[in-house]
Amino acid sequence: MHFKIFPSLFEKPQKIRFEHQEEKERIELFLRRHPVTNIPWIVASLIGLALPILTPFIEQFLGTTLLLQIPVQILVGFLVIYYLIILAYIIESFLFWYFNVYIVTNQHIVDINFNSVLSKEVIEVSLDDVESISRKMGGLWHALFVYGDVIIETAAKQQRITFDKVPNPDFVVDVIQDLVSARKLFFEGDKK
Amino acid sequence: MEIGSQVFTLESGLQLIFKAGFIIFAVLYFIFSLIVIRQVKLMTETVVTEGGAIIRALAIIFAGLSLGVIVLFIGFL
Repeated sequence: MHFKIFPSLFEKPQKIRFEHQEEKERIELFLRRHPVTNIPWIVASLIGLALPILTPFIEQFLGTTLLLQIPVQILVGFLVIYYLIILAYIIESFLFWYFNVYIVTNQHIVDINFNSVLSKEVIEVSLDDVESISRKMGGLWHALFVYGDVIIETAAKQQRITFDKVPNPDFVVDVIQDLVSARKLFFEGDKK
Repeated sequence: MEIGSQVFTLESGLQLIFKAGFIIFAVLYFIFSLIVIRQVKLMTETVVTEGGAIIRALAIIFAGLSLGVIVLFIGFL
């Protein structure tokens, strides 16, 4: 089952670049977490949005009149604040999903993380340092939507990079392995 | 207690406290929206995508909305 509304896997994208991308470096794969991983915060937001609408019915069901005793202006004020908090939650959740990306280029593997507001972490490892690549898929949800983790062990200072919950991990592993092999062949050819 | 023609009751006092609280919240929220603009700038500079310009525009609209909330709280509540 594939999601096309918010693509999270791009092959050789032409209109995407990243900071410190070298001149001859081209992006082979651009990945985000699978869109299905957004479902928990989307559902939580929808419930949050619907809650004030349901409150009068809940109150009617319980037989209380608490809402009627609060002045309308105060009630409106609280309602506005409530929806602003939900809006902030939606914006932050979307931004973190959209900009926390994994990039595979013909030279590097790049993991860009925005851990919190105004803080970022960019891990860049050369393809030459890649030692092993594995995938991890577990559970019905992962099998149904075809996503999982890709774990890359490296000889670099940053010993492990994990592509967390990316779509089609088998394909991602294949692409990285092909790139690593091609690079090794290229350098071996150079030595001869 | 009666001062001039205005009568201060517990209810009106509470309303005033709430209104002040709402305005403080709105100001803090506006500051947060400015941080979001800065955050989006940082993000769109790090990862340049087609949707970057739209997201930057949305962040500015969000800050405008937050400013509108301050006006709402000052003027209408």
